[in-house]
Amino acid sequence: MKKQGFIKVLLFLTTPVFILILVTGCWDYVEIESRGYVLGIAIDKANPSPSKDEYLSKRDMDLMELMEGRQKYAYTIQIPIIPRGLIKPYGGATGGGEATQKRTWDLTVLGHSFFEANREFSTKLDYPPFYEHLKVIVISEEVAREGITESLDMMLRDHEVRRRTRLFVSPQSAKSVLEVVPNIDDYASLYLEKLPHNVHKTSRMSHITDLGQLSQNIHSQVDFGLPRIIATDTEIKSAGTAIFKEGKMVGWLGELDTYHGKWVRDGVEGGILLIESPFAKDELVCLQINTSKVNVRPDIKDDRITMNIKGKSTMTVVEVNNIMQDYAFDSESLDIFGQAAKKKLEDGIKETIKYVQENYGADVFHFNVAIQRYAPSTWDKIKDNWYEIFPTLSVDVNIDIKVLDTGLVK
Amino acid sequence: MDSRNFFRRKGSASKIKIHLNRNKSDEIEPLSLSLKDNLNKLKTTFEHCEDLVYRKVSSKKSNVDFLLVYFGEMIEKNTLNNNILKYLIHDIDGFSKRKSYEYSKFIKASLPVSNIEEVTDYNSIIGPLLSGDIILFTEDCYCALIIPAKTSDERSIAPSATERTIRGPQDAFVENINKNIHLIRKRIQDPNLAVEFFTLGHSTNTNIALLYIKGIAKNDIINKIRLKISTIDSSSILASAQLEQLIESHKWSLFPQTLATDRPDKLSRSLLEGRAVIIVNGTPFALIAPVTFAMFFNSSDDYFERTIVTSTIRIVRYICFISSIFLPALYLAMTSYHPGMLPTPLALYITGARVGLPFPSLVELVFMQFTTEVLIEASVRLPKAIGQTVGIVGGLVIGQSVVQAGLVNPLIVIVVSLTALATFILPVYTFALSTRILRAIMIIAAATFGLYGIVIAGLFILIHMSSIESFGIRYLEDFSPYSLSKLKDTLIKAPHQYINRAPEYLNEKNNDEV
Repeated sequence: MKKQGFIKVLLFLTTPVFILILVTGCWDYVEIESRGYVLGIAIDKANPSPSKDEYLSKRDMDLMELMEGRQKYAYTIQIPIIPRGLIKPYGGATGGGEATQKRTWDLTVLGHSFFEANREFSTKLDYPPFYEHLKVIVISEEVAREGITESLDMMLRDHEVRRRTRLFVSPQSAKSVLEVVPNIDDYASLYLEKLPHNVHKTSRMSHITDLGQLSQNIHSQVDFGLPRIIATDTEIKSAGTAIFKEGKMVGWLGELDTYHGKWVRDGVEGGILLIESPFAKDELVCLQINTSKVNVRPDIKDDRITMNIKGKSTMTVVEVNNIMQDYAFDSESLDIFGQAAKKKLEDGIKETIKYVQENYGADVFHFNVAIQRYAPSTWDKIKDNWYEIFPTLSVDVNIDIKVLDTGLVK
Repeated sequence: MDSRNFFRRKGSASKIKIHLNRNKSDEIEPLSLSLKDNLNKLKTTFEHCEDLVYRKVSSKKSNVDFLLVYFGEMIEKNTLNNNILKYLIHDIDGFSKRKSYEYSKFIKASLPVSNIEEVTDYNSIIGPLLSGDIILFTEDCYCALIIPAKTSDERSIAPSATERTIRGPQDAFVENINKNIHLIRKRIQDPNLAVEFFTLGHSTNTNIALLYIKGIAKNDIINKIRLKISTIDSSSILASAQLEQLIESHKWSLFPQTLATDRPDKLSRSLLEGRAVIIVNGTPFALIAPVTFAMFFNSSDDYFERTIVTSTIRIVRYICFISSIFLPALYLAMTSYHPGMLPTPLALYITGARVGLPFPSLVELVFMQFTTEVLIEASVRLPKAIGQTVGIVGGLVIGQSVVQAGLVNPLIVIVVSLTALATFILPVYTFALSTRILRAIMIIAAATFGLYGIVIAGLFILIHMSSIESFGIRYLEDFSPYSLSKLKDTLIKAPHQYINRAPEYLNEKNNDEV
């Protein structure tokens, strides 16, 4: 009796396990190598579609019959090619011939909706596309100028795509950026994804530009910038900014303007400030930025709004052209360097703000956010015609720079 | 020392028990006056015992007949020859002056052997006879003498083979219960160290000792253990492992509820903490009860090394315990269900290692896990000389060639061997065995439901662990309810000054210094 009871309990416990394993198969179980890891997406403008629709998808791999819409975008996904035995410790493929081997598989489909294109990839790809490792989305200038929300909406909704996916805008074809064969990295997407990590070294690139930030900007209806990238066959350069106003790109900011813009947005993580020596003409002094903190506050007097850009920064002397001069070692000259740097930086910032105000009218400095936060009643009055007010705003820049030391000269 | 001395000293309660167990009746059966009658009676009782020796001798000086009965291989020959036979045959004199009923008293007083006992009841000679004593009958005397003459052919005290220490004492328990008690008494020279004897098993009559320190150990706990032991109804107790199963309350649990060790220092420490120790004759492994989960992470060496080093090693043990259960399951869940949780380079690396392999990860994992289990089992049982070969065959031949042949992903080999190593670091072997089963459960959970399954199965194990208790002490008592002072000798090992109090839940009086 007792034994039978035990067997019953045992059966009761083990049967569900076996049924679960053997009958249903394993829920969501996909072997790691049978997924297509999409590392990057490029969105280009589609070439003019062929006139005769009935030929679509019969001869050309990139074309498909659309359920709705027209061939508006060319979507490219990048999937790494991991050849058999590439990473096997023993035997298998060795280094020979790898240089000529293609490292990625870039598939293009023309369409309107990204999701439709995404499903069309499955007609060519024997691995289901998997977007959890998506690193970068490159958008071509043409697409950006028409508005990026349309093509990116699915990325913002989908559960597989991570919020940390980085966005880039390129004046050239986006696909050509993904097709770069990097010198060290294996895949262009990973190369591109790691570039913004250098933000501690230079402030000429925008860096907080991922999908999460984009979503936040779009939904709080503020203007924003995305990093500009250009590419050759083996190199990608990320510097400068594409300016977006109301979701559409309106123009470019150069590298130095980007640098000044980052000061206003308190986005400086590192980099340098190069000034002319206050002691001698044609001699340069290079300062390295250690810390920086900038606050933007509106100052409202009567009807005049002035943006107060106040900041503090500490720097170190890293390079002086003429070391034969006494000032190069004198700690008393540090304050004079600081004064010169302050003037140079403040002028640059003012110039950039003026440039953006006059040429684009896009509030990439988020002055509206500052006014909304610190002067809400004023904001309520002006928010309807903000884009008329923005170009007329005056700014007051005051950034204290303290140069800490002269560096070590032996 | 002789085991019987202990229970004689303590009174007759446990002594009677032997005979009750054996004869199932408490009738007293007097001995016969005639040697022949006694002989015949013994011959009927021990009809099948051909190794029982009946030796008739008579005193040369007084012409009195004696009958000596003993098991030939169990007695000390020297004692028999020099102290008993020689004395009885040649030296003893003076029977003529005495009445026959005084003979046994006279012999008892004059034989040069200690601890002789005089009995009149037939039933009370059987136990001592079976345990290796010599029984002496005298013609015309209603008393028999039990002469202790057991051989001491036990192995001598040697270092522990299962729990080695570097700086700790190098003695360990042997099979003999008295030597073992002696090892404890040597360490705790305290009249409060209580030793209670039980005899269990209708056929084996195994001596069992329950040790605790009065005033430190909680009476409730000791009563519980005493009750468990005394209500055991089993025909045989051959080892402490059997007793362990008979007294624990959760028989189907994977977690051991007593701790078996052969280290007297560890046992003494447990006694001083207020735990009880159960020693079973014939087994070098004594049981500690009650135990808590954290005790299975303590090694004796922890108390002989420096605090920070020991604490780090303890934490490493906890990490190893967790990873020995979860690592293969996590690998499976991460790669097959949630590759998005891996860093991209790692995901691509694993993909690269798996491209072109014929079997799914689950099959690979189960196959390698199975191989490891086989290797471990094989190397534990094999003689030392062949044991090394197993390592070579297993590690080199299978491990390497399976990868080379393209059957198994090298990462699986790493995961499985890391897991095996993590298991070896656990100081208590019984506990390390449990992790093997837990690991299998986790692999099944991970294969069916991914991380979700691991979490659910992990919760089930946690719930089970917090629900079992060992003699009234909850298994997770050290961690819940939380108190910082409990962690001093569990998660870490604080310097000795700070942990000189026994755990509160074990103590009669909370402030008792150990």
